[in-house]
Amino acid sequence: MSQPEPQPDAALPELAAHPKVELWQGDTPLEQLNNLGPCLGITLWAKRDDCNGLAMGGNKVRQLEYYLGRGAAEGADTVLITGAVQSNFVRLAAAAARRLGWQPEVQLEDRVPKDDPFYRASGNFLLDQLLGTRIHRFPQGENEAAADRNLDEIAARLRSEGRRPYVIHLGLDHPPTGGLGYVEAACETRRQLQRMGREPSHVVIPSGSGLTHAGFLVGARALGWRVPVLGICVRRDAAQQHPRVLRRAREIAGLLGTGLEIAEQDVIVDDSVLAPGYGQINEQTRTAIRLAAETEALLLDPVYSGRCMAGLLHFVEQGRIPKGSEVLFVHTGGTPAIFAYQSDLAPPAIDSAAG
Amino acid sequence: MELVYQANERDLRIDHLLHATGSCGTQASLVVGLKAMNAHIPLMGITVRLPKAEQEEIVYNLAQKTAEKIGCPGVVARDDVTANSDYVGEGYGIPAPSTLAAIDLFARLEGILLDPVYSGKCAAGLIDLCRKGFYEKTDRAVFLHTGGSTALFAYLSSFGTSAPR
Repeated sequence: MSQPEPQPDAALPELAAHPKVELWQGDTPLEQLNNLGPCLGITLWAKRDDCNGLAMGGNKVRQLEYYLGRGAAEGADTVLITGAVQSNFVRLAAAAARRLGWQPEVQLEDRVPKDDPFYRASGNFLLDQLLGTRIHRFPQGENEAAADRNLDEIAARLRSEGRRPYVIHLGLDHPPTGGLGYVEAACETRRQLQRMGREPSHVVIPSGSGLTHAGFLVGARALGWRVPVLGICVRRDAAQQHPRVLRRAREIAGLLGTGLEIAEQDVIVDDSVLAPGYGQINEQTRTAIRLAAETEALLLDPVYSGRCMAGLLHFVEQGRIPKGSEVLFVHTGGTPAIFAYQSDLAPPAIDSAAG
Repeated sequence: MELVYQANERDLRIDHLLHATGSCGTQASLVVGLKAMNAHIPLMGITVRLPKAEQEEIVYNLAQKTAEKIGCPGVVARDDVTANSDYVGEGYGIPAPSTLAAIDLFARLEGILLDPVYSGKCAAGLIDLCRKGFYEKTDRAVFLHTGGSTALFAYLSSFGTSAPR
């Protein structure tokens, strides 16, 4: 693959100190949602990070550019990652590995109590299989430390076979390298907004592992962009998520090395639409997915972007985002998960509806 | 036009262009565009439904009308229109073994997701033509990925996926 050397963002030259592989060229679109916005009484923009070209796209492409940049610098020939059965990160790590000519190895955690056949076979899981990913099972869902420990054991086995795995852990004791991808995303978004002379009053973004949220926040502040970045909790409640994002943001700021300080009150998280829990759909998310599809043909997923839009709708309803505001919604992708949750989303199939 | 611009920007010579052709509209407009720009890029449509002769006839007629519409009447000659129906298999929407093998190969070598109805059949053609020696080793072929990857999920059972337990 002969591609031009990835260029660091001119707005933050500090990013260039970090190795990067290019998985996607160009900016993702920034689109105004001219139907949904007026329907909510706001001006609404979507940053379409679901549209980057790698294997159905999503936010993790940006994170992987930095993770695998480090891996490439270390001479890796394999990616090893852990995630839920329907993990977008796992699917994109496998796809990125293939692009680079590496082997994909993944550990799938039973994180979501769901026995649905589509959940267990379609969506991201189907794509993992098409990408020829070797899958290792991990039965404990919510045990991040144990999942990471098991990952290290798999890595040791691979090394003993002569492979050179680059391991992507999820736990907080590992560096937030991927967050740099969202520092860069904030630069790109800011540049696009400035070109159009726009100044949103709020950014709404999903908050899960926290790296997308924290990275965007750090990027914005590093540029001197003071916009509130509202993180919608998709996995942990606000009491757990706030310190996590704060810690990640400070670590990412440390990686950048600009001496940027992130204040506690700069981290905003909200868990109003989290119930009943990670990866389990609720009525607000279902409504948000339908509304975005019907007004904008914007496809959202039930785990991240749909829940994030549900959070945005909730903020507008509560007046925490006042009418007339200009809001930027960061669409983080996750589209393949729609097919894994089809039992939760779909009306009856065409032939049964006729009968 | 976009493709020709991109190739020019990179100083890339394109010897072959392949894509999946079903309704004929994509192929007809592509061939008109290429001819109108005098791009000298031979185009081959891998059919996903119709036999070669039938497909070529429809594409040629549609291309004539399209050329007139953009003010370049007669720019497309009959032998500019090439279709290949060797990879349809049993019929439209039914993936052949070569389709599934092509989907597999693209995913594993490049992380590129194809679909079982259109792009997968086109890729099967590309792979087979390479193996048969239809292309020279030094030729540069462009595969036009026409999308359709959402159909992968509708063909779940074709991939023999074993659900995790």
